[in-house]
Amino acid sequence: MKKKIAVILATMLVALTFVSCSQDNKQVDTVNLLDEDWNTIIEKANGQTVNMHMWGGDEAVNKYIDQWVSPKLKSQFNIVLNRVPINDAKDMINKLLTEKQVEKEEGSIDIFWINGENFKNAKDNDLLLGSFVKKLPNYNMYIDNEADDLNYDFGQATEGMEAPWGKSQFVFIYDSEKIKNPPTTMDELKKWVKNNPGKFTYPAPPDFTGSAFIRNGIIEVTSGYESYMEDMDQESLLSKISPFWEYLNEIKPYLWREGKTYPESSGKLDQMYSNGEVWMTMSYNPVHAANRIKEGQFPQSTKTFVLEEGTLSNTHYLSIPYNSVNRAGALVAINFMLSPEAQIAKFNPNNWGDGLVISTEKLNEEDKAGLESIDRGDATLSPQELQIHRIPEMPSKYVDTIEKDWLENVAK
Amino acid sequence: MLQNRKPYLLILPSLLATVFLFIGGILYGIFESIGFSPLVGEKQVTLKYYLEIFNSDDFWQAFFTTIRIASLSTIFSVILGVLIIYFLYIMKVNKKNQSAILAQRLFQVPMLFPYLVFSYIVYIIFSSTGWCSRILYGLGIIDSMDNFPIMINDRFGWGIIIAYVWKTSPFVVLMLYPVLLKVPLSLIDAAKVFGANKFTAFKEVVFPLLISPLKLSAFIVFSYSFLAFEVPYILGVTYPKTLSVYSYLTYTTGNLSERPKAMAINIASTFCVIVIGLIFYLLKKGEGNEG
Repeated sequence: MKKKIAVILATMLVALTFVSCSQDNKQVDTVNLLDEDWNTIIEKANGQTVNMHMWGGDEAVNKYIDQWVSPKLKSQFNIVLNRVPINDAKDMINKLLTEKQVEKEEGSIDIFWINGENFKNAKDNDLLLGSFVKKLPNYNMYIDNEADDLNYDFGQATEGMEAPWGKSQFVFIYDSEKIKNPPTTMDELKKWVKNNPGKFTYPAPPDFTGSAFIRNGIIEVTSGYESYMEDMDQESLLSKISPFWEYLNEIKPYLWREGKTYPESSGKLDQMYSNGEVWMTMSYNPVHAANRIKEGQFPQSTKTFVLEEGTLSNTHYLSIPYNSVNRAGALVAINFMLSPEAQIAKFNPNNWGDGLVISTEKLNEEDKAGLESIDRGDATLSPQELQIHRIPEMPSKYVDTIEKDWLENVAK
Repeated sequence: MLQNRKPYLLILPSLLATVFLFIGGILYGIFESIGFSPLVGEKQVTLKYYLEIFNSDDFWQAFFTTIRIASLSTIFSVILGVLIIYFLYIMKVNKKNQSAILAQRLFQVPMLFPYLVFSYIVYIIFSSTGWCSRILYGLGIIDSMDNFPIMINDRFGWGIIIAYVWKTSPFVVLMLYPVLLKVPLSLIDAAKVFGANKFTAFKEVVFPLLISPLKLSAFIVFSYSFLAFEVPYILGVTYPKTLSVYSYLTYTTGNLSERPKAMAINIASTFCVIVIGLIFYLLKKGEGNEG
């Protein structure tokens, strides 16, 4: 018995020594990676397993990664892409913070999918590898590096620390059988809600979609998005947004359950829409409705609309944490996901239906034709229609205050 | 000698892991709640987070909501558990042992589901467009599905209580059933000789034996429903929240400087359960002295 234990302990000790040795080697390898040329990076990436942590709540997204991106990375670069689903992007930031706290230099995340607040938190706490996008050939070739909607993530300068990956836009979803003329302004929405008591509600923040609905409303009902781009203190922000609390309190008695409670997630609101309990739902993904129709969850008569003055749009990004082990693989994988091939496949609703970050005018004729031929479903508005009704997100530092103030002034 | 120690040695690894992770987690929580968080650059011990939550209306609203839901869940769960035991007792007295075992198994079924899944089951059955509502509407008992009483996501918390009672009463039965098995039939027959019917025999002979495990299971049910998160998250309302949901939302939203506050809420609610546990323990001890 004792002998056995001794053997096990000895083996563990030896193994530990080896592990720490190999860790040291890797460390040296990765430090100067961003100074290497691209071919060396591709060579180093050969055979690496890249752990990509991302929100796993959308089957279409997961399928795109697993069935489209992964096989191609494997065959073209011999990189294994390991998708790690997570529930909330904040969990990744919390995990990295904890790793930083215990000085863990060998993290488990190589690529992560972030934007907004989470990017800000990661950047503020030095959780990112650094400015890497200029290293990516496809970034330099296909992406407009002057575009403000790519270079500012919820008002935060990206400084090349995250690579734009896709775009989304907020849309309202309705059943055209039940609503003939959907509202086109927040005022019309108010009237509609009053005429159809109990048939409208929105998810309670901090749900992402609910929070976006509120920001969208604030921008239209108060003073437009430009006025939120400048710096302001807490007091002025609160007084600036209060007209929208009046708006929400005015419609409250006509909401689902008379506004006594709100669905805790957009998933719940979608379910209530499927059941016919409410007549509208909303999403930050313009093809969400088309996807749900295809799955048979939403009625065929489902359509989407945007507001005349525009709805929120944002860019989402891929980034590399400070303690990633397979950095070369991560760079190659991100570069691949920015290629026209990968972007156009992602745009196709059969795969995911996400918006493009590459500029269409930089594409060759063949890719342009490929893009034209994609059918995004009857429920999805055309890219042009979305494009002209687009307003940028407000700085992420205001999001918290708005969510808390909503709870104080509207929910209670 | 070695033979005696062996079992202890064998459980040592898992025991160490549990103690380390469990106690470690609580200690970490305590440190963070008093502002000792080197990461954010805070190394000064402070009680301001506790003062902040004790002075906030939201905390007390959450506290009383949680107490109300946990107490009602415990009371209903204990009552239902005893009723089921009584039902099993009748089967036993009627010498239907096979069916008693089968019924006992059947009552355990809800224990198979995780709380998260079970919350959705309760939602699907009792929401205003759920199965119950659809059936009643289909039978013409209610004119429209909107007329179905609001049982889920209601301000009082009935939805949460339904889920807890349904899920924990089988646990109460599981704790009480061995006692029922140990009561010899001859004892009940003897009681009958002295003129007791089935009910009085249960009351006089079986029930006193149940009290001790009943107290223990009541405490476990209470502390679980006091601190658990999934059920109130799915079946609760936007305001007021339960302590667990309140702490979760404080922790995950907002900037990192809010995290100590979330920890303070956690430590305060853990402290509540410890105090209630002590009360239960002292009650049990007192009862032991009497006997």
